[in-house]
Amino acid sequence: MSLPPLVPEDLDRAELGRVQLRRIRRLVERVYRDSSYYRGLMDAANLRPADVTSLDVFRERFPFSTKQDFLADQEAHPPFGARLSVPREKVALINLTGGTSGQGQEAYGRTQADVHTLGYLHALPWVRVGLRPGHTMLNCVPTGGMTTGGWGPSEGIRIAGAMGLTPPAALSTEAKVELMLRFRPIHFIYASTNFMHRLTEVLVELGHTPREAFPDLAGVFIAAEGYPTAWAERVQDLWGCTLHEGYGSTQCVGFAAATGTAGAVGPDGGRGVMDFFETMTLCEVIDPETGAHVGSGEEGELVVTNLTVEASPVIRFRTGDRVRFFAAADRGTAFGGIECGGVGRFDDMMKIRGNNVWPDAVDASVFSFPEVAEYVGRVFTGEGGRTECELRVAFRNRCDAQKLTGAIGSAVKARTNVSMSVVVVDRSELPEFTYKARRWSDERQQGYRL
Amino acid sequence: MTDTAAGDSVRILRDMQRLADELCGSADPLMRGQAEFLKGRIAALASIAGADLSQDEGGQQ
Repeated sequence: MSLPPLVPEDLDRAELGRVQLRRIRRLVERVYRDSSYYRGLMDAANLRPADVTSLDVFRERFPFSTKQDFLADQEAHPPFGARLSVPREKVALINLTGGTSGQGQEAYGRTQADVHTLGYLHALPWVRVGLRPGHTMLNCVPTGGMTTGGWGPSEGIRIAGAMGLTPPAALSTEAKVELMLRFRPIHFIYASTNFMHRLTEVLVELGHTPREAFPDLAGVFIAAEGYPTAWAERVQDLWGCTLHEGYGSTQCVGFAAATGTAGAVGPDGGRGVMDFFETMTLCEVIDPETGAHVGSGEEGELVVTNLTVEASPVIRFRTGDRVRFFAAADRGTAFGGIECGGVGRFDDMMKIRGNNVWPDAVDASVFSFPEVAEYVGRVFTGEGGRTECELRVAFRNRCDAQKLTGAIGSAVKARTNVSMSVVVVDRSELPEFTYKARRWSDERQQGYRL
Repeated sequence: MTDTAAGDSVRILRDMQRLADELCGSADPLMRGQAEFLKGRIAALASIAGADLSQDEGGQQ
């Protein structure tokens, strides 16, 4: 009954498939019995639990779900939706997605067991690459709130048996550096891509050489934003350890994929690969137009199924994330995987300072001011390595521009949780959009130079 | 933990789960809450170790 170890080199793909099928069958039986959402989906597809006799049947016949499906379910069955598969009193933690899409926040119940799983799916990638009991780990990802990513790191650090150094998000980077120095030795760092960049810059500005100031580091681990490979190599050189990356989300209850010991830079200096944690999450990569599975080396949309989640399991959930897929057979390991550094979106969502920001949400805020004729926005890496957002706004006619810029900034902040500077420009400086407006540019990677 | 014990971890965790279940019947609400916490942790550990999730929850919708 016990699982093979979660080390790709030691894992047998056929055995992994048997574990996945057993878990899928139990999951499907359970949700068909306990969730009218999933029962309705299966009935509509003329699929019964007993029909799921292979992973192929599951992949071919179990219907997809999307964010919009979950929001509609919640609207009809508040607050968790009918996909909640346990009695409400068994929910020990409420998770919500960020809510900046302008579409609504998905709600997830977590049982006591799910909370542990959530922590495990943060600890797993870190322990795989060197975090050990007794280590001190710096966690720079904002803690708490209602997302899984806000709760997972602290749970994960405890599960790993390590000591968590988790400075408040509001603390300046300089103050965080002071804490790092005070609580040395530091063995592991977890941060967003952008904050890892910022932290490196500030350390160097303060006169430190990271690899000398923190010689005990087993690894640095980033998530959430893309980066150029030259930057990744420079980070490894400056810190004197391997750079790692993970892919995770609230829907995945933590990380669904992460780099192994080789790290985020491939042996040829190109991009590394994140291994799927396929005993815990079934990952598929599909063509978003046809729904067909893509081939190894191709890009597609990541679809995830939680194999061990009790309260609010997602089954064949379309993430909207664009990934490059590598099949296990092509990698010589038991796990499939996705390319490091380049996870993008099929919609226009941008990940800014840990917030999911959809241009539609900014549009709604900016154009709620009738004086606005047009605007464009850009996100970039500013002085000191900070992620900055700028809105260049043109007004229709004479108005109190100064008063309006402040009001627009506040409205955008309230809607997206991201502070953006507002600059007034002449209408002639902004483009004319004749088809679909492409108001945003993401220039952050150009700014990642160390 | 020896290799033998590691291979048998699901059985051990299931035994622990049954013991935690007994504590969940406590009349003391604080003990009951802590026992539920413990039982949940053990259930997840068993799942991570290779067991399937309990089928006895549910009946929600």
